[in-house]
Amino acid sequence: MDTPLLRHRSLLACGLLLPLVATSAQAVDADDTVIVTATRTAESVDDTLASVTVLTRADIERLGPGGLPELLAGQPGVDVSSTGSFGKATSLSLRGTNPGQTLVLIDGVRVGSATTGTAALELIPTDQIERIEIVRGPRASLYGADAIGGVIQIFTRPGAGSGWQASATGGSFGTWSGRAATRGEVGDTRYYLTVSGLTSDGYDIQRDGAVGSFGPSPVEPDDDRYRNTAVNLGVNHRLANGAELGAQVLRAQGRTDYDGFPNRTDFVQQVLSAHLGGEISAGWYSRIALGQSRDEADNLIDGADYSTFDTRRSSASWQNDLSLPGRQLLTLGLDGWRDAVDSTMAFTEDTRDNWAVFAQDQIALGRQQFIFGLRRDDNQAFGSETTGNATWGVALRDNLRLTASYGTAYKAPTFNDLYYPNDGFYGGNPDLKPETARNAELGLHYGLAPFTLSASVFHNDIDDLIVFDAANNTVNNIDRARIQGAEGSVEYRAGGWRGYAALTALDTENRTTGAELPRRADLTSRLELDRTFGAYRLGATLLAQDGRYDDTANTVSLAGYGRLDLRAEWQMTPQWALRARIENVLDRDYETAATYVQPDRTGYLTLAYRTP
Amino acid sequence: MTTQAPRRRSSPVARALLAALAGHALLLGILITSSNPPRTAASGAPPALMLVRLPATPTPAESAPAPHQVPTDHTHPATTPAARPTLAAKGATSPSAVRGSGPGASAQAADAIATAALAAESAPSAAPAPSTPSPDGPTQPAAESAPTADALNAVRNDIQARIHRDFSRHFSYPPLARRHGWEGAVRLGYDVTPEGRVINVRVLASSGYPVLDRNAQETLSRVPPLGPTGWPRPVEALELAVHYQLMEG
Repeated sequence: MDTPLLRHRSLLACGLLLPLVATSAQAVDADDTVIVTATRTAESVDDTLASVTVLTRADIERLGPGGLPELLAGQPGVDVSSTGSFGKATSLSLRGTNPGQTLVLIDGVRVGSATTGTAALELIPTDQIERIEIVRGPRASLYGADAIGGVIQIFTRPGAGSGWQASATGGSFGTWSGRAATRGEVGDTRYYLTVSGLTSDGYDIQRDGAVGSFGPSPVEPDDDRYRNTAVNLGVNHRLANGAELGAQVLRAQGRTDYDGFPNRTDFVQQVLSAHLGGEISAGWYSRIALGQSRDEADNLIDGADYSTFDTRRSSASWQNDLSLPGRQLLTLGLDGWRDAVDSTMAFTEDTRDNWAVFAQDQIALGRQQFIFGLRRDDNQAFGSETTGNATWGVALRDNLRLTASYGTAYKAPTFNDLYYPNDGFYGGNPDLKPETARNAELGLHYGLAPFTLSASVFHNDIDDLIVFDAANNTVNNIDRARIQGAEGSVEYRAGGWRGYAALTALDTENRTTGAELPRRADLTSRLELDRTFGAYRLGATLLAQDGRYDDTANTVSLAGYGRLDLRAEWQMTPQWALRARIENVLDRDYETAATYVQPDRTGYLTLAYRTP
Repeated sequence: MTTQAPRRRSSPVARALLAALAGHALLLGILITSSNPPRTAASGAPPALMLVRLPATPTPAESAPAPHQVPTDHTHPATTPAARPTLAAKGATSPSAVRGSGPGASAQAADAIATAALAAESAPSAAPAPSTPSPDGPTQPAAESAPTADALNAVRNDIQARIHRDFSRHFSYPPLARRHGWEGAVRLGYDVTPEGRVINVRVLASSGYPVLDRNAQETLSRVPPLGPTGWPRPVEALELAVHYQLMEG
């Protein structure tokens, strides 16, 4: 008897595993059934030994209506600095690396601005996200540029099943948001559609006239608004022979306000993707994917157009997975993308192409596992770059795994770095090389119910960091950095309790200047505790970080802080739930970027419905 | 002041890659749209004997089994004509006997196997099909066919239990399926020769993923011989379900 429910990961991820097994028991007597299990690997990371933290839709709903930066803050290896809540510019450092040194993929498509080199995580509505994977450690040998600190993978496709969901949230700062989602199956075709909207009056994000790393801040004591409207639509079809084809689109657009010059950005974030995959012959799986991501920003001053920076990145990839004898899995692939920039600035180049060929071999030998990866990129802007990765894992016991890995990675210079038009104060440097990194890491993973424990220590050496070269009014490959650190997490689940602790310790140094790297706390921790009593659940999150420097010269420092959030949920009926959340309960004032204040105590109430 | 660097055009390598990609896309499209029909339940040979779904019993060593527990006949309404006498015979066993899981049960079963084997040697045709067709089986004297049916059931149970007990760990998650997050349940049918070799492994119900179906089928086909089954002819239409599922963490 086919039990399609078992095929679908997000249902499993939602903790519905046991009921599903029970369902299947009707069809097949349990004693006659061999259950073959394995730990789920990060999707398309193709790596069973990676350090990964996964957030599912259930986690997103449990943790409340905040943005993506709030969800990621304090997770193992993650340090988030933001210029405010509600869609304000945010930078994310993974394992102590620079913001542009982490690759962000949405539904497998590389996203972000080619001019700044970073992805606008704050503009991706969490209402559209089904799953987040934080993959730590270099992944350049699979994905190419920018995967130095790791990869943040965001998936918007829900698991199978059918039904409706809807929710409405209201709270502080005149914030209102709504979400409606449906998914279903027609024959062998699955579809889903999610629409969401958020509007908030926001708050004044910047202290007026305060002196930060870039001089005094502007005096503009207004609330800084945010609006985001998004839609996400996808279709997947399974052919009789097991091949699958699908397409999906995510589009979010809106506005977010700032203080100063400019003081408003109208944005579009869009991801299109299509794929066709299937077995060509026994043990040879082949997949072709096409994608396009758009990151568009129109900056305005008091309502008047000021500047535009649009990036359109089109990509194609062809990946083959070959099962070889001896539990070996060989992956061979080609990929390519074109970055195109359209701006009111006259960039000296507005497109660049990148082509790459890559291979990875994953070998299981008894209790040991090896992964070797190699990739060569050829980029129109800076030539070729070869990266590699070697990982060894050994199961010391059934529930204890040790991994060791070494990898190289690089970050591509951005269009701003390379091609920014010279205005007398700054001009791009077209001769830049990529920033290159070497990473070594040692990890331990232990799972024995009710505990799951992971810990890693890592060492990154990054050369040819691109920094401002005042003598020439441009940027150059000058600095070198060394990052050492440790991260760990422990989760406990039993009898209605869930406890989770994540801890990151960092020691960063710019080896050229001797300074600490800016906007990284030496210690970051995130603690979560949830207790379910029948239809009720209570929970708390404590995010604590020690101090940090705001600037590269280490002259402006920011104090450490602790932020406590409380949440409660009442599942009134199987369909209806009411959730309340109070953020920053202790009303602490703190900043993660100098002069930009984080919200005081705030509260939100959500009413949610789902078809059973 | 910026001097425009000579722009690198797409290299010949890149163009070659592009051409290769396009060519392979075409090939992939053709292959995928024209590849083999799926393996389905129907492709397995119809069972020669009957489809008796038996709940696996605990191993004899662990507890006294009830080898002839109530079969879940209703799940397989399509029994072949050859099966009827066996069913009838099972009907003949009284519920009390079925529940009789006393210490004697295993011994009874063992006896029954011996009896059946002997009977089979002397009169092979008698074993599966008593000469008198009996629409109202329960009233038929159980003496002739019950030991046969019980014996066969015992053998079947024993085989299925051993497969489950001894070879579960031979199944492992195919790396390709793990990588792509494929999960599903495969139901296999198989036969066992008198010498204990597992033969004719077929997919009765597909998981929807050829990789999982093939892995289950190949793994079961490769288990070492179980040793003599104690039944003079192949034991047919045995079943095994294999669930592949991924865990978070």
